[in-house]
Amino acid sequence: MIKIRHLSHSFGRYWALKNITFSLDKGDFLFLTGPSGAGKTTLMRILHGSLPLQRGVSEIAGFNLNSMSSRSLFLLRRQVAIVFQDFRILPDRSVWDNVALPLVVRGMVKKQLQKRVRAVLRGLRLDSKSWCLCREISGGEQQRVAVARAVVVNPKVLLADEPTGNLDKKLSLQLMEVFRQFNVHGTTIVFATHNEELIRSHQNAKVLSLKEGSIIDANWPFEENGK
Amino acid sequence: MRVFAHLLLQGLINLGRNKWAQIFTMSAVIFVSFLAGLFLLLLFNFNLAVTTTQDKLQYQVYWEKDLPMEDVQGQWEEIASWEIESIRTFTPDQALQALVDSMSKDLDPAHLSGSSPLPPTALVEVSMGSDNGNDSAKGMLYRLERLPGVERVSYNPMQMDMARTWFKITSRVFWPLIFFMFVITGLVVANTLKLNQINRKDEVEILSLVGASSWYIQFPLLITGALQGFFGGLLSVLLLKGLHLMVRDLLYFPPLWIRFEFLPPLYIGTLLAALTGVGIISSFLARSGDSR
Repeated sequence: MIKIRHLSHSFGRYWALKNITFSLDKGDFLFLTGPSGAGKTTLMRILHGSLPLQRGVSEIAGFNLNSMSSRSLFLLRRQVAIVFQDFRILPDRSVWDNVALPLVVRGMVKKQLQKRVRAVLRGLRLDSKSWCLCREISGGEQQRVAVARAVVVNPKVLLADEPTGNLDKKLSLQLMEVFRQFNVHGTTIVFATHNEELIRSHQNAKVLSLKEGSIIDANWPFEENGK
Repeated sequence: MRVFAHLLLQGLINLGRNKWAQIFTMSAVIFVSFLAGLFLLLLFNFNLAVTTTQDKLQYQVYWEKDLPMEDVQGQWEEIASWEIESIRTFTPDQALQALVDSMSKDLDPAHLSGSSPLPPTALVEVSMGSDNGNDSAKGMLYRLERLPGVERVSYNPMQMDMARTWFKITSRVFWPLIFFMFVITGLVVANTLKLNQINRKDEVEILSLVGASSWYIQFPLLITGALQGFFGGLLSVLLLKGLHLMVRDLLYFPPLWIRFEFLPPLYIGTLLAALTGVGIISSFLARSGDSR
């Protein structure tokens, strides 16, 4: 599902990622961990196509990032969803509108769209807030809206860049459970966090530790140090 | 088709979002286009006044005194069918009366009726109408002189020089000024609309994150830009019309007799089309540097 080979990325003279290599299969759960500035967000942005690939080879959900033009990135983003720490939702639109947005841009028929959105909102216990404006709900609820918007399209890969960074411990564990449920259904998840407790809560996950742009530790529970 | 209609509707809905930003943008577009329209209106009326009064050339045509009046009148009709502005004709008696009128009201030319010593004449007025007015003036002189029975044609060469000068001034200043004004208006309106679109950068970014294609993001923005340009222009034209109704007869008194005319439909159409185009282009440019 994800193949990264010798990936490096620089911002001017500063190398944010150095020679990163790993691969993930369908249904894998990967924790990306490391201190601030380790390169977690840069790696996420490359995987989502928000940053161009400078060096190395990258393949995700069947798309080769090396040969992808910026105009066809939307095809990648229809298979690879992302959740950010700062939510990136539309505050002046309702919870329903935000969650339905990825389906609307795909031109999904109304009935099917309603069915899908309703199911996801129920799953994330947001159904009672459907018609509330996003700026009027709590931070935890906003984060769940962001997650709902990502999972509503049944993505092949779900990237989560410190999605629990603004949440308390209880909400973080609840959200983790949501991710785990989607993972069980076959979605590959890359979850960036430096919350050790969350990592410990998921025994079967793979863990990649980054520091200053390099992999310093790889914990692959089923195999030896990555593939 | 369903997606197209949805995007069209989205462009309209966008106008209702960020109300204050939209109101300020529309106000800026309206006032800038109003100023441009006002400038255009003044320039148009100035040009109109100049061309209707200054670019005319008059020829005084004298026929042979013994020529039968039927022949002369036939030639008057022929001249009237040419591309001229006007023709004023004088039979020998009318010419005498005009002469007497200009001298003294006490004189009575009645005893000379039917035996006026003056020849039949005509005052032919033509518009210079083009930059090569010298050639057309000479051409008209040649045509008039070649009419059978015409004894003499006189005109004032200085009047022709003046007409040519006015024509040069208006044609070389009027259009460049209009072009310049359109460029300035375009730049101001484009930047205003572009800033307004950049204001919605977050929304555009989110659309891009959830897998919207470039045209899906861009199309409603173009529609919004086009609507802002068009309606901003339309409201400015309405304001201009209101102002025109108020000042139309401001200079309509002796000796000026100048009545302000409103812009012709072609000018208004061009102004609206240009503003709509500027709206579309600026919306396109606002997003073009933002390809990821």
